[in-house]
Amino acid sequence: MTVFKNYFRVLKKHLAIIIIYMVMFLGLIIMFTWNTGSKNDSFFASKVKLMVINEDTQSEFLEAFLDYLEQYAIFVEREEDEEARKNALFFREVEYILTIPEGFGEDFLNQGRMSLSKDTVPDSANAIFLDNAINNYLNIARTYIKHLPQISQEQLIKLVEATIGGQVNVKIENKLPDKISASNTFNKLFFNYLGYIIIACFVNGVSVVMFSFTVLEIRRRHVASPVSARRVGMQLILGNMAYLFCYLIIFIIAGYIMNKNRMLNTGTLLTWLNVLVFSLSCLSFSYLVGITVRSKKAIQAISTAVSLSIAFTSGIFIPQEYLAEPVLKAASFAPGYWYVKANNAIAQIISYDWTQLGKIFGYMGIQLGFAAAIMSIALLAGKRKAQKE
Amino acid sequence: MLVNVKGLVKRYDKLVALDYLDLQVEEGEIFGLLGPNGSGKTTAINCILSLIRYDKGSIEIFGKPMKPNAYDIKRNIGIIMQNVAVFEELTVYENIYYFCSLYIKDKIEVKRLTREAIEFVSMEDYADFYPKKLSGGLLRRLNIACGIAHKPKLIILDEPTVAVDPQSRNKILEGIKKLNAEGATIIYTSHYMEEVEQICSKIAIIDKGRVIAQGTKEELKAMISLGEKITMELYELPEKNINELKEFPGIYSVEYHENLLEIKSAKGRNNLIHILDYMAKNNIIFGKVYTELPTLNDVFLEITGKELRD
Ligand SMILES: Nc1ncnc2c1ncn2[C@@H]1O[C@H](COP(=O)(O)OP(=O)(O)O)[C@@H](O)[C@H]1O
Ligand SMILES: [Mg+2]
Repeated sequence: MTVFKNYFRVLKKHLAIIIIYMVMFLGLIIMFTWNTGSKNDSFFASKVKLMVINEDTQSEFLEAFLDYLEQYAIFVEREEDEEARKNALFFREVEYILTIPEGFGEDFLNQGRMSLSKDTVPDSANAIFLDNAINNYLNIARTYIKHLPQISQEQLIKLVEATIGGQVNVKIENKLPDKISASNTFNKLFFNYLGYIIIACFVNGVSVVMFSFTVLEIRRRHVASPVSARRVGMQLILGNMAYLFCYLIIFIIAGYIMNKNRMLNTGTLLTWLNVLVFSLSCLSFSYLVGITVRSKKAIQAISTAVSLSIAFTSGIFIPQEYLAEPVLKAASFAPGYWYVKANNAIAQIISYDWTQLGKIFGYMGIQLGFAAAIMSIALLAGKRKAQKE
Repeated sequence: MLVNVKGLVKRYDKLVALDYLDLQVEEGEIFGLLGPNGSGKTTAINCILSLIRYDKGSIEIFGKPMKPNAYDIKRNIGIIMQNVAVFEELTVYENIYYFCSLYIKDKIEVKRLTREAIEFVSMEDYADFYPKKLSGGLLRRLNIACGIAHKPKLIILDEPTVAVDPQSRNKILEGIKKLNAEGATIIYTSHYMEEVEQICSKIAIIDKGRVIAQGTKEELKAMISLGEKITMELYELPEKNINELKEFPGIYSVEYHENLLEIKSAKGRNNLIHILDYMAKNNIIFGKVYTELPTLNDVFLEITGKELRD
């Protein structure tokens, strides 16, 4: 493991810049959470401006559900035009657009499937508040349907209302989903920003170390030594992997500790999986840069340029909802866009059924695809270079 | 025979870098590979070490064919390449330690050898320095220490003294002699004939990828007709006298310019006495007189018709 150990000896010399990024990141997160923390106090007071796009046929259950929402929301008149809806969101004339698709009532009553979809103002505490209310109602209803399959709509409505109204300690019961949302919102913020830091730190770590190991003169020393090229290569890959895992573990723990509402739910685990997947594509990109770019200064320039441009176009610094279509189109050719998309989807998830999870895993799959593609290019480039000499 | 290279051919597209090169190195020698820049020295070394592919020929080291996966052979070779190859991120000590540990498993042994190598290149005071802080000469010495720490049987040095101050250069040359005295066989490439003459027990002169002469320096000098070079400081010398000097037996070239008369004579005795006689008889006044034996540059010049130096 001589080469493996040396990987970290070399890395140690580049740790300063990596630590600067880490500290900067944690500072940013503290600043942001402090901001959103103060917003939290007021959101119980105001009702959410809600637009309902109801495509379903009227039913008793649906009516009762909408009645229930009236406690939490002010209904805004429905806009038919997609563009008008977007503008309304942008100007905050509406904060939450809930789409009830055709057949929702039937699907829900028969199979407990929740096919609602929504559009919200980004990072709105009010929207999360409404999410919780919707979840709360539908989850209770679903529990009854599951256990009392023969139940009529009328009975169901009564039971749900009784449960919600009769909750002995309303506050505590209601707090739980609030906590989940708050936790998810923090995770979204934390991990989206982390995406930027990961790119910068990987290029500054992995690329620079790979550069040092693959400089012609150093490579020749390795080739002339009795350690086979395969073993050198394997140990370098191992070094990269170890770096990746150390890095992620530090931030996963930091993110977990800093999250006031921390909890180990499916959303949290999915976020961790997502950041792991994203790191793999960053790792292969850094590897590619390390073996093809022939100057350390250039590598540092690339690190800054790539991390910033991804942060600005993929929805890290500016939420995706605010970005123009062509920008997002362009951003979708890099894994950062899909990473943020997955994080956002995880934070907004209403239920863990396959339509929702499938979407999230799809985004992760795309990132893995990027990782594999970039890695193949890197290996090819490495081989071609070796042949040239 | 420790190294046996036969009929080595290496092409870079149309350029023939090595043209049926043959080299035989015996155990215990300091073998000098002397040639001008671009003559193919580095290419030859790279082929010998299996660092690059070649088109034709065979290479044996320690009696076994050298191949990229001949790890037993590689274990016993130390390389010092033309360009310094060290990690910028590691100190002098860490660099030597790392490269040594590629060859030797036992950590304690590696530590001991690292210290020995530092001592060998007299860099005790710089052990904790990073390469960026080292002068050119010290950097070269570090480069050497990285190549020899594991005590290889065969040490290959490719122009280790390029761009080095005279003091470091002498240290390096003495070091190479010492390594050889301790039992290592050395292959040493250079385009400085003085160095090669100073330390090498056997020399191959190479030009355009081909060995044009091989032997000890005495053997090489015996190959050419030049015996002695006589130089005189003269303020004036008429054409007539130059022509007369040219008629002298054994003298085959007389040149006069910038107050210097340069006479080349074949091997033989009393060349100088005849010339001094002639000067006295013709009342030619001269200043300093010096005579030189032929150098390897003269050997190169006579065989190729051009100077060794750029
Ligand atoms: N990678 C390469 N590609 C093309 N030509 C090369 C390459 N390396 C060396 N050469 C050419 O091969 C010849 C021998 O070079 P080299 O072995 O470096 O000479 P030396 O070490 O004696 O100065 C030179 O003409 C050089 O230009
Ligand atoms: Mg050379």
